[in-house]
Amino acid sequence: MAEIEVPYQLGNEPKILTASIFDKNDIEVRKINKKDITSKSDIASGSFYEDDYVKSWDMSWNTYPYRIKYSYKIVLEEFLNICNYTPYKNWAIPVEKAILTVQLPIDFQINTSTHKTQKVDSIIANELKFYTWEWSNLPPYKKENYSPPIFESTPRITITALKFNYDISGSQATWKDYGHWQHTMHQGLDDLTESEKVIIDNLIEGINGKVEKVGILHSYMQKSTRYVYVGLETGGLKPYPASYVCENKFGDCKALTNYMQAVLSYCGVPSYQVDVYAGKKPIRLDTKLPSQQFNHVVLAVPMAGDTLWLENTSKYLPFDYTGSFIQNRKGLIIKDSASKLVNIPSFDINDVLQSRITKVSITDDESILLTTNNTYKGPMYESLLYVKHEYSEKESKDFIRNILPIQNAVITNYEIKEPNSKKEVSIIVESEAQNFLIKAGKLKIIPPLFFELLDLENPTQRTRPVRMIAPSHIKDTIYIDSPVINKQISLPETIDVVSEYGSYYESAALHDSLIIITRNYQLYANEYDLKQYLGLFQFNKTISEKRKYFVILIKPNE
Amino acid sequence: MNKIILAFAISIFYYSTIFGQDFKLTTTLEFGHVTMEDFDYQHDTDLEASAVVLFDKGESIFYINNGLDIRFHRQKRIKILQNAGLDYANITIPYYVDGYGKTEIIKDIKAKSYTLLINGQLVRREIDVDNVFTEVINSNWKQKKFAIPDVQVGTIIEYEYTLETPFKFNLPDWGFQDYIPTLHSEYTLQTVPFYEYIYIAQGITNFTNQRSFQSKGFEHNYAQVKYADMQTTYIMENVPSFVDEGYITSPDHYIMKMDFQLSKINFPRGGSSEIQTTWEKLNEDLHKHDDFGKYIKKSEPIFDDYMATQYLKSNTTAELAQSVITTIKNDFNWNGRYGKYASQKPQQLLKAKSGNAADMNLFLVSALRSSGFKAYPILLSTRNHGRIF
Repeated sequence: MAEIEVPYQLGNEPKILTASIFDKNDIEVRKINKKDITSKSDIASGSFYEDDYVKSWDMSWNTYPYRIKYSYKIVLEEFLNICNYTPYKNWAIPVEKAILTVQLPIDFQINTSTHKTQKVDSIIANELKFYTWEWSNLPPYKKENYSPPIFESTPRITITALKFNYDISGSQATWKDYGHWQHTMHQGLDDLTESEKVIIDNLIEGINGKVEKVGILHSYMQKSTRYVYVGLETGGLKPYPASYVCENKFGDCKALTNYMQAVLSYCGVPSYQVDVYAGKKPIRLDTKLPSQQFNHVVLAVPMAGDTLWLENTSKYLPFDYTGSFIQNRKGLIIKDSASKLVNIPSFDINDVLQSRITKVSITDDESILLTTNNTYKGPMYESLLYVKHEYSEKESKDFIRNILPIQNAVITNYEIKEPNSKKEVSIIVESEAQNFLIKAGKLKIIPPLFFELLDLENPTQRTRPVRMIAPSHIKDTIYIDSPVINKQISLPETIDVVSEYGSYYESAALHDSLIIITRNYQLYANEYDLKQYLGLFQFNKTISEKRKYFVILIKPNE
Repeated sequence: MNKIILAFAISIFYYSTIFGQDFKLTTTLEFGHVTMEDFDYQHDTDLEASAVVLFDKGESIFYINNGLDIRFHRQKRIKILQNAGLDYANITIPYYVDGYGKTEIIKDIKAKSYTLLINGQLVRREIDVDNVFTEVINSNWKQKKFAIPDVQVGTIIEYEYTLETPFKFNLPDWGFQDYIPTLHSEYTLQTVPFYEYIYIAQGITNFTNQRSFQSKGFEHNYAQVKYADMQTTYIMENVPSFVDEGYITSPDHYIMKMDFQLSKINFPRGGSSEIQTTWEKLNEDLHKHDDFGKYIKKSEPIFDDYMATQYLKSNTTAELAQSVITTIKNDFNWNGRYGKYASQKPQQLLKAKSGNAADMNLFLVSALRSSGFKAYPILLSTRNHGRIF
């Protein structure tokens, strides 16, 4: 808390006005000097270079409680937002009081979005408008599983300039206006080099199908470029021109997407950039506040009756795959005066299927041989593509060990197969484990080889909703084979739970010396408020309780 | 004059078989002269290698620049073998700035990529100086960063740069090993009679080749002393990639490298000064140091006054010692910085109530002494800082 950081961009250096420490008697015991303040680069992880910096200094004191007070000033020549403010400095630290005052010229037009923020005072004096917001006694926030990003739940206020000048002039009155500004800024950035055009001509010579063309060109881009983020000046919002990518063969999401758009356009395939907040746990767009709320851009290519959503920063994802990074959310399609919010398609329950076949052979000494043959779609498919191409042998093994149903298994052999055109990837793993059977007196128990269910807090402790942005779907078939088990087996009752949240089915059957367990688990993508949380919690608990009795016993020889 | 002893005074390459295989160097070691052999190169002993260092050559020389400064020049060539190796085309070069007007500088950066197209056409691309960025890591370190253009699997990249440093105590060290295999790594050191260095060769039993000779040509003249450079070259070939195993202290403790330390300065007008020769000498030097031994001595009266204002439990000697330690621990904060030298005057420390590891501990030594105890500072090296040799 006592380490203060003020981030800024080159050219907008903040002026630190005051910084002092007051002890419990409110006596100023220390003043921060210029030499206590350091400036250093502030380059986000995953970026190569940015002209962002941070000034920081330490304000800790030796006795508690103490108070710190600091002020600074930043002058911006170009801006889109007036403020993006939250009273919290750290979500885990309560706030006693916070005040935000905004002072604007009387005719300056703004758009405001507030969340859990009410009290507003606005007065007009001396040709100026003064707004004041105030918060008091705000509680700390703690992590809650599967909740929307904490940012969405906490008090905040965003004020945007309706008209602005950022590289060029623009408006944020509507999404259409905001999209138009981006569209205008992108003009002239489609300058493919002549030598690049020759390469492209060769690539698509004799190819007529639109989908085929897009596939070839996207695959060429994947092969010949790499992701490197360099953000300078307005670079955070304005892409480098296509010629930059032609020459350097690298770029960030904006540069690569802009380049891909230029390539497609050169081949007569129209496409549109789509701004999006990417990630597996995205911050949902505030649809009522047209503004820069995005962290990524993809390319929408309209096809007959369908759209391709091209991800241009992945070296491995197929061109016609909409992945977990962007699925199930809104994006802004940049289409000159037809720019608007669009829905990026969501994973269907079958798009995320994990189909797993496990064969367990119990040998006499109760150690086992485990053969795993799993086929993955969705997020695991994406991860495995990366593992296959980028991980070392040791890293791959570590990754795969975590997939196996037994913790102490030792992998003897594994293979990640070439992904197929159905956008799925299979792995085959052979492993061994010792002391498989659990002994309970004279009985022996075959361990259940369960996967983990949701980890949900007790409803009385829950304060925030649940958001499942992607569904889950696991189909298990487990064959357990052993000469020792024979027919002294006691099989559990079938579990069959169906609800609005998902379903769980598990049953065991015996065929000679072979036990077959089949399992099917589905969890839907949805958002549940606190009332529905009770139901979800109950659904999860019911399965968990029933699983406790899903035990396969081996009775002793009589 | 020099403690670096010659093992092989030969001027032809000596190919070693220390890694259990015969090695044949096919690449040219000349910057800018990429050959077909470089493109044909496949690493057959390490199939996992995402890239391979074809050569890495460094040279440090002393040159006259209002005194003698060090100029370090490096050339490196890498072949990218897999997508996972593309990051080797993103280069960072850290350098030191002391904050008091003296600084290392990086200049003459050149970087190129060579890609052989399927049709046999060779595409050459060079980095634009505008795309070399400077990152400020902290008040003492910066780094130059650049991404080499037009790099894909199969591309050969090379880059060179010069680092000039006024810090004689900071003669550039040399790492022979990387996380990818290195075919040829070579470091040449051209020393002058005025500065003597000792080195620690970590993880290296034998250099593939080590040669030393007096450089030919004109003698230099510095401060009216005529001298000839002494040049020593250390070569390691076919160095396997460094494998980061679990539970090792730090890769830096195991990777093959040479660390240099200034050991003696011979003054042109006669006389010399031993920098670090023995532990006893280091101990003596530290005791005389303004921000170490002298600091403790000078601060005793100041801390006497401070301790007089504190309530100390003193029923037993042990209790008194404990009480002094607790008082200082409670009243002062460690600012998270390490170091063996005090960073501020005792009066400033009393005001700021926080300081680096040396401020806090030297203060404690002096406070304990002024309370009648025998107390001594102990120097150690943290894991990140490295092993003590």
